[in-house]
Amino acid sequence: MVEYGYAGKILRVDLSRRKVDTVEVTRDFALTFIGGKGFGAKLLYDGVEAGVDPLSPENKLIFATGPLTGTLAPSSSKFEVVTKSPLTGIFLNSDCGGFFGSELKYAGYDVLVVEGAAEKPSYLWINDGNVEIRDASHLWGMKIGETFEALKRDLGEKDLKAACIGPAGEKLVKFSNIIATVTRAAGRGGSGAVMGSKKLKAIAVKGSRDLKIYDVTGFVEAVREAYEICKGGALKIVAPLGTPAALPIANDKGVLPIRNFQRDTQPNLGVKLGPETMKKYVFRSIACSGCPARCGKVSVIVRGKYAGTIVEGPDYETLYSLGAVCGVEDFEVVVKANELCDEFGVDTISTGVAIAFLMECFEKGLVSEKDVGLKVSWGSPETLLTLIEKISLREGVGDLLAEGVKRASERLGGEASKYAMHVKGLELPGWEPRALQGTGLGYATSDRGACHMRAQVHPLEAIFGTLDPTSTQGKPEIVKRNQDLMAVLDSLGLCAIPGLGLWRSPDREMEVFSLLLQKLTGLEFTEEILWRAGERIWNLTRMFNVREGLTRKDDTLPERILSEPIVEGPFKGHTCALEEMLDRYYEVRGWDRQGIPTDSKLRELGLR
Amino acid sequence: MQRLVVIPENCSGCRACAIACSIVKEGVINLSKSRIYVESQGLKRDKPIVCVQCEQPTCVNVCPTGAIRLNEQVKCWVVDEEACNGCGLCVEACKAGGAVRLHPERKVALKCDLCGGDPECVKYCLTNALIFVKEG
Repeated sequence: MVEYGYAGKILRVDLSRRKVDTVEVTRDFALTFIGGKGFGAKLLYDGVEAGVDPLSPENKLIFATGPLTGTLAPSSSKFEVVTKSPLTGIFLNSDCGGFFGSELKYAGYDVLVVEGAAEKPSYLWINDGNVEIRDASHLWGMKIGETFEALKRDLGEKDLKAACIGPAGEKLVKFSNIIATVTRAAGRGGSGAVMGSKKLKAIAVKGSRDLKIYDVTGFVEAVREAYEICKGGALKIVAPLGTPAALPIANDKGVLPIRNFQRDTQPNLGVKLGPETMKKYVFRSIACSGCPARCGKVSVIVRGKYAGTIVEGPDYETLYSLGAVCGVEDFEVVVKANELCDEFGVDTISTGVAIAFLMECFEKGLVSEKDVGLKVSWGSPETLLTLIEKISLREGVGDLLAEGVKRASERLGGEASKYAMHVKGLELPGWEPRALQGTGLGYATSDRGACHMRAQVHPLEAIFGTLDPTSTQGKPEIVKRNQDLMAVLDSLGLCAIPGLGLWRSPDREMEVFSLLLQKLTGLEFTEEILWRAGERIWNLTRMFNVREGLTRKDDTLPERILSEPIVEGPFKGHTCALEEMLDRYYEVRGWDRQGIPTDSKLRELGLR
Repeated sequence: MQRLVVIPENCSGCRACAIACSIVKEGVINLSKSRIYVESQGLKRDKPIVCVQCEQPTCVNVCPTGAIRLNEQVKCWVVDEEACNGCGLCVEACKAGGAVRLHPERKVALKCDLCGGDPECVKYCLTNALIFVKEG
């Protein structure tokens, strides 16, 4: 058993049999898979066979913290939700900040594995060693805010930490999310629907057990050093303005997708949706557990049509998805839409891209007002706000969009698939891959479908300007490197945002992680062991996907990105030269030309 | 007196102060054993709760064993754990509201002693929600 840094136990709850047990975390398991994403990937690979329906009781829903979660290391709030995604049918890890992950560890568990499905609506109450499956009939149907309040009353805990689903998760919306205290989301890929299929409304947790540190003085020194590095980096930008600081940059550089990727820049949009406007609404900054970045900006609308709206956000991606990509230019509308998504429990990115898809289908005449039961037009607040509710409750055309753009476009047929902006079923985030070649390769090869957080090349290509965005040279190498690094970060329990602070000191990130981990756990987490573990985890999630039938043909991008050049702006005329990069990417990965990890690579990583 | 001044409007609710406190004081991470903690009101507000070193402290007055004493060097009120009988009267009496708690296992009063004049929590508060005010 591991004694320091880790809580030392995996908690397993079988909702079908109503049974609870624990398994110890061994030293070998810790050194091989680190925690978080790594632990989740291994448990999912071993526990969920190929072909399992993601919304069946056979799927598992895993909440995995990392060794650094809940500690003093900067930005150490994260837990990972790991499951087979109902949106993509492949591996999913979706990370979440806030205070649920740290509390789960304080209660004595590194990981919670939920198996089976309850017969009726239920919630879990984890209070240190006491774990109860409780009736949640009275919570079913409630939105997120109401659910938290009701749980606090039920349990008599005014500062309760919990993770729950909203009505969208109950209705099995394929991109519904899980929201954790205070308003942080495991946003992408539909983990909320998996929780809904298990009839699990919420998990409440309270922890008061000691989390032990191997070398207290050494750990505190390592934390101080990490703080200093963070302060010198991205914190300078992220702390005052949050991620929206990137919006005017993206718009000016012509990499902000607008109107379902028809355009990538628009005069004045950086002001209308950016920090200059946002400042008027932000009333405070809010942070996750142990995070100096405080990137959460609480926006409040006090006057007018949307008076009384309060939300943590919008963040950059939400300004893209509920704003730019739907042609919405009114900041207040984005704030209102964000609040609705957070209350119903749907991913803002997939929701916005699904609505933009319908807007374009409407524009192109593929669907009519009669078909969808409402008028649909670019930038219309009514369209946006009505559709968020319809999707969340699966009403009318919302039932179609709730399946995600891949399935929705297949059902509509004809040329609709041309307007479905997704990779492997996961809707695209807000960085134009025709302009940013490495970012495009990152989307195409991400283990959960289109994701900017897996390869993290967009800051280098679009924000800091350290890489030539139009060049394909060296991109496969950097995508591979960053995917391995992010696999480590997602396994440690750290967030990428202050992580970027570390990245401004090239090649020092793993040194810092290694030092923090060794002082905390007393285990020999050398830099080399961490790099190797990152590569192992990435190959393991690939093998999960290969087992589900994934090959090279799935490592692709939407047709528009590959063959429709950007119409204006600095990157006019560009498409993503994916094929050029893919062979080389497989080569540096040690995979064959079909994207299957070779025997020798798997043996080298101890996966075979 | 020297003291910590709390400015709740500046607090982001990250709880690094409480984590740092429990590490330095108890050698473990356990927020129920920290001398400072954060009360959350969701998106609206977070408020660090910590001893403000009252000039006329009620906790000192109600203590039946005289266990809370002035530390002349650091110029603040400090609990003598040997003398504390764990009765909890100080917890009830605290005017700052909850700044004195009982250790969940050792059952002795826990309150801020300014880490001997160099409070650890302040070092992790990058929002200036906690300010150490030295005498003079």
